Amino acid sequence: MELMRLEGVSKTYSGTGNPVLKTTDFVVGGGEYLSIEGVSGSGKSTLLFILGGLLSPTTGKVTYKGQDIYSFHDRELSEWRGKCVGYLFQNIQMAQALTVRENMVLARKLGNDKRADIDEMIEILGLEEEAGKLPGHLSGGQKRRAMTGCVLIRRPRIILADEPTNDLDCEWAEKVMEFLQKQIDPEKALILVTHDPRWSNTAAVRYSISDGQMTRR
Amino acid sequence: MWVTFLEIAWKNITRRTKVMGSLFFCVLAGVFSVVLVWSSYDVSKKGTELSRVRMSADVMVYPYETELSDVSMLYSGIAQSVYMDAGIAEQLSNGYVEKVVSQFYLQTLPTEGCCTVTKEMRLVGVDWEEDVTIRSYLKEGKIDGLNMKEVVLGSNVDIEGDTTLILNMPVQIVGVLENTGTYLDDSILLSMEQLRQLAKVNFPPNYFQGRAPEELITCALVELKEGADPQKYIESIEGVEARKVLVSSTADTVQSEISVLFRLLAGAVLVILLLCIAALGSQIQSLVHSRYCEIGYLRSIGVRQSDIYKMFVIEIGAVAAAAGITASIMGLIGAEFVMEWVRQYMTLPLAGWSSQFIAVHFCGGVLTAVGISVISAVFPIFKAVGMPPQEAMTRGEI
Repeated sequence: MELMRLEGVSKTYSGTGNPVLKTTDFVVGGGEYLSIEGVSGSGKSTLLFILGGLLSPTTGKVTYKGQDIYSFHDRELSEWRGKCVGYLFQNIQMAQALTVRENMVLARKLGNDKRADIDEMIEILGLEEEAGKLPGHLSGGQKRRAMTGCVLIRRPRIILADEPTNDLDCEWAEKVMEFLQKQIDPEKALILVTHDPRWSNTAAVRYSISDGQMTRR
Repeated sequence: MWVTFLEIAWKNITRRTKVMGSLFFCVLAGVFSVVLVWSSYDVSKKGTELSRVRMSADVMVYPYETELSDVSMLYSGIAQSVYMDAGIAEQLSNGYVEKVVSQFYLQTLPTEGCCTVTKEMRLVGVDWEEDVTIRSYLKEGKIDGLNMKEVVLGSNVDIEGDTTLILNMPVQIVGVLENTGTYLDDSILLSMEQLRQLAKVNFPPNYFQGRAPEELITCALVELKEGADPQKYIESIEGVEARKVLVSSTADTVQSEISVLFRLLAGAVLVILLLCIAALGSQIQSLVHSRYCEIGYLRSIGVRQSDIYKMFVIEIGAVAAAAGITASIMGLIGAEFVMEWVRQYMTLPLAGWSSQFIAVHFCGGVLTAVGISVISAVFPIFKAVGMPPQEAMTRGEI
């Protein structure tokens, strides 16, 4: 089942002459686990931003189940972002004035399952003692796990994970990757961006991106 | 989701105390100065307007020997024991005149002790039957007459209890006047007969130029007929050996002095307010900029632009309202102290601090606080929320 399709998508940031992402055609289907590898500045993050509905392409179309997401009004696009895509950013992103638990409560309200078990998520990610703390009071690894929880509590259809194991020790990196892969089902997909071949090798389909051009490996 | 964003806004306010505290004090400073000067100006302006109505006299006549200025005679309760022949009141009646009312003044003597008036105050002896004005403005204690050993207090006279000592005579307090904006507010009223008796008992004969107090008055209040020209009346009584003061022109003089003073203050307040708005704008800009990443994140998880606007409006609005409430209360209290202090050096008629007056200035202060905060916040918030989420996150990281 096709989830997302990029047709003729490219991105050139205003003020720069060269495209950061060159014309790309790309399909993500349900049940797929993809990895994208590339050096810094190759266009990986730009691709993920476009897939995540956070950056409109300069050319081309991005569709989700046949609908052009960048033709949505803010209300529809916001709902789509909340329910259909979960973006694990490379840099930690959370609401700074909310505790870990409060961040998850907010995320759950915007997601697919309003009754998702937050306590279970906290337990899986080993954050029992950190649940009542603000993000600013957590270590890098704790923040990473908390952000993972905030994304996954929404039960998104497509998970975009940009270096999800940054800041994590080996044990937690394995646990988180295993947990992410468990989310995949016939109606969901996982797109992993990573430098680490340990993780990119676990993907069923591998892409590389270089100088804005994407190729299948 | 309204409740959710209300909760988020509340948490942002209570958990970002330094930033919110800074916004709070910025708004507080600006609004406090506005409310302080505005309510000070209004209370004295309204006092002048009130006095025009409640003086109920177009012309006031009193002896040349009076040491006080016209403004002090009309608007202060400074004790003034000067006298002229009671027959002058008859000389003042002519075709222009509706009514002439006489008053006899004395003063309390400063004494220590409880249950007594401890400072020098003007005692005003009135003919309760003739002086309709005073009867009309009795706020408390509806009384048909002012008997011996009974007094009515002006609105600013602060004596506790139902009895007090006036010149060693125990008296019953039977009423309090409403605020009039005139000398009556700071005076104690007795029947003229009672006051003349007290005068004979407590003061030597030479105090009254060797005459009996019954033959004397301190001032005559002249109410002219409708349409009568006050200036022509003054000319018609030129031969009367006493000082004649046009109440309306004295009120005009006071009003223009008040206006000049408060124009200067208003200029200062405007500068303070502009500086506060500039500081506020800068702080809000900084607050929003520091949350670019968060704005981008919230949008990435499905929060709508309109909800983010609401969140910021609630946060900034709540802090502004709290600052506005605090500043308005401080400004109103401050204005009362300031005006009392100013009156030590300058005679100013003052209206009372009625609940309507307080409500208007309080609400005005709160609205000013919210208004200047919204004006300062509109552009930074629109800019931040309007940009693509990716751009917000990228700029926030930089």
